Amino acid sequence: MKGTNWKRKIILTVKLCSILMLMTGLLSFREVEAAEAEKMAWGYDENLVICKMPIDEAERRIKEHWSYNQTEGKLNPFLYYGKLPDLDAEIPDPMELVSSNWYQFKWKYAITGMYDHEVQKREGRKYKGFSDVTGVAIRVTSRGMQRASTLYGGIKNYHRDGIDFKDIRRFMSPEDTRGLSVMTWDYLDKSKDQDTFLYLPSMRKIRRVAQANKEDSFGGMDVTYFDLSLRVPGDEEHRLLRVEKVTDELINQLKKEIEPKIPGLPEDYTEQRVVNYFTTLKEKDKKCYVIESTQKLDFLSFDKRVWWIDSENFRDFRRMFYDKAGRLVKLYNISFRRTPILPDRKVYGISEDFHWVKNMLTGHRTVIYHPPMCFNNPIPDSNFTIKWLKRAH
Amino acid sequence: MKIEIKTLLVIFIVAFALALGGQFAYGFMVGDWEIGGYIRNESSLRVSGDTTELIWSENIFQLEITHHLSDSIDLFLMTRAYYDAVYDMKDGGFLKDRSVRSELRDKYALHRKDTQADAIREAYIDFYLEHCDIRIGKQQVVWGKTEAFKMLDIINPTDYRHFTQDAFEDSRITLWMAKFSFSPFKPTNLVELVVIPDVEPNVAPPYGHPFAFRATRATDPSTVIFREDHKGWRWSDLELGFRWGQNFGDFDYTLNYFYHWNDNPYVKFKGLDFSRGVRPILLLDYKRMHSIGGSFSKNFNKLFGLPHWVIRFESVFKLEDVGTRITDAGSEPIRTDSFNYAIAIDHTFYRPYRLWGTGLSFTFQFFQSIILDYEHNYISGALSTPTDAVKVDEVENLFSMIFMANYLQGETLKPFLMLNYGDDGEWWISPQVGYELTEKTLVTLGAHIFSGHKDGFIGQMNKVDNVFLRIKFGI
Repeated sequence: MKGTNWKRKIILTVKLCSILMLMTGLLSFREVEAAEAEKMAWGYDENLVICKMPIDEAERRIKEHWSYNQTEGKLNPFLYYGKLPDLDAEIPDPMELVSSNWYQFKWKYAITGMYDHEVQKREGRKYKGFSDVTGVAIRVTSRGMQRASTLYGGIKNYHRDGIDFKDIRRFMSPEDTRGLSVMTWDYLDKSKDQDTFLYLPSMRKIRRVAQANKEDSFGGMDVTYFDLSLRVPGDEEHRLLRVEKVTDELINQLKKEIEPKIPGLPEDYTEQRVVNYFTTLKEKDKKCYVIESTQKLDFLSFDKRVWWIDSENFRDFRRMFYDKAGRLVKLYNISFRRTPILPDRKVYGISEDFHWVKNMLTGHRTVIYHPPMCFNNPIPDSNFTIKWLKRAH
Repeated sequence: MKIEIKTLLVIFIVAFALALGGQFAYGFMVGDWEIGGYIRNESSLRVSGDTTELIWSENIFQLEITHHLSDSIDLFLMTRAYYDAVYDMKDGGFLKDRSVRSELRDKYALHRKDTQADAIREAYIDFYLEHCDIRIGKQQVVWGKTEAFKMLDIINPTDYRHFTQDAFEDSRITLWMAKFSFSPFKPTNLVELVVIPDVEPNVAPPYGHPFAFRATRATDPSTVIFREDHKGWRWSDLELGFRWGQNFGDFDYTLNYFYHWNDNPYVKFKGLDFSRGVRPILLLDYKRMHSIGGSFSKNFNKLFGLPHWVIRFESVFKLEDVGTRITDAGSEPIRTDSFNYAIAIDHTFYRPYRLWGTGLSFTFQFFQSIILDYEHNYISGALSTPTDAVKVDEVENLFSMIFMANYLQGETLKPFLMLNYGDDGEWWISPQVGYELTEKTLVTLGAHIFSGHKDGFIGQMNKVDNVFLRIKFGI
């Protein structure tokens, strides 16, 4: 045996350190979690800076600071962050419009997204705070082969300590991704890469992965990371093409685009939801801004996109992507739904409902359905950690 | 036809019909119960050496049941029915020797305790407390950050029935233990304490098995007697693991310590037996050792002019490990110390969305093992035979490259290529391609090709190149 003194000393030191750290850890059952357990929410202070406050205070401030039409869900104040563009200007600054859209998009999960769904209620028991199926995505190849993915999770906006938001997702299907969990930390400094951690059931370990490229597909869908989370207004040059209203012509065009319908979809998942939403926009005589955005980044598969922004809530509901040759390469339509943004269901805003995306070059399509969601259910910080990721069986 | 084959055949026909018909999903929920699992057949054909033969035809029915007892308590059971039909299907190749066939069938044909074919694969209860997660029961605990070879992944022992070809999730031998995890000071800190009363060694294939290590392959069991001391369990036999970790976003690290039993035996010569000729008696003893290690991973916006890189690292000091040395009187066991580390670098290559939806992940890993108290008479216990002692190098190097569709693939076609190279001129190449036949059916065709000198860790398998086909139905 080669039991030397130095070896014994190292082992003894490691043992002592382990015991010390363990004891310190045990004794540090801390106030951080206790604070999280309180009914805290993100709201706006006097300077419209997002900060943490008691949920009642957050609600009071919304009602106080924003003119709000509950019946129509006209404005989406709690989900809005940033300076409102001058709506009365004859030609609004397109960059302001795009920035407003971007803020809406980024802050769509203004507090923490939760969904109201049977499955999620059960899941929520297991994963405290994440009682949601975030989405059901169905991919369809040009030959009609279908693949469905379901996932749940949540987003928590921080806007402090350099962190923009943290996002966590767990796949429930298909088989090869069941249990796979993804945690992303996104930073306020957009030049900094996102940090992404995967829990891989096939390895039973957490693996850090490099940030996806903007052009990478998310989960094999026709939706890219650019569409989901990596787009920033400065990536493109924007031009306001026109201000228009949704017309029968646009609706008929949409009806043609979504043909042939995806067979076998349950009622909740049909493309008709997008048509219905466009029809509602027309009936409400909504004014829309049509923006043309040309890429500054040369590695994307499209050169420019033309997109429609709702003038009242600044969410875009239609995107058309073109390549350098002017070919239409991707079509992207979204419907929204009126949704409670506070747990007591007294305050409503809008949230994404249904995405319909088609790659015009390959014919591959994706539809994504988001179950009804509500906001502002505080999720503790501890749910956005390695420890939580490893809870998966 | 054996009853097991008939039963499995019926299960497969029914499952296949159901899978194609889309009549059942991957896992389903009934009240607070969640049920999932799969049926899998994997058959492998040895294509090198003198014969082309089937070397395994595994049929696995795995059921995973979760019961959400309350908001903070879950029960989980993973149970596995296992049957390797090769021991009943053929009568040649490595099974032509009747005595070997019988022993191998006993050990590998059906489920067996404390192997990867254990009927109770995992069974535990989870407590999600406000400050602490506790998991008590039979489970796997995984440390470390590298892939393809184990370094800091030292908690669970390994079943080497298919060398190291199996996914680690399968080849780990699950143990009864308790794991406590909590986050002191900040949610992004992690303290993990692992207490293991259940001690099991690695399982190495016996004489006659295609994947037997070189030393075993050369030792006819009729010419030697192995004995093990079975002592009663004492509190001092507990294995204890401790891990501290912090995550700063683009950088995270862990410090690890594990006081444990060595998973490989310390083989001592205990005398001679004269009952049937002269046979040495070898005592398999197990020794305590310390593993002190750490790991980190770091995200880089840009490295070598390319964006989006990740570097992973892990290392472990193994103190009081067991080894072997050769002396004039023959081989003898020793205690030895080593430092082992691995560094990995990952990049996902950009692919235009319209051409390839998911990108291609590339991983390069370098493993190095350094014996700290090296002497020139150290030999490898797994590779040496009574007539041919294989000396170990003071420093061993291994390189590994993996190309695959990225983890969030979602594509129906799933390519994978692994290349491993040992510094003694050894190769292990494994190309694989998976195809999602239906949402519930995954078919994978692949191969493992080994090259190198017969006394190398990889090279010893150079006669066991194999091609495999795996069909997996989710339930």
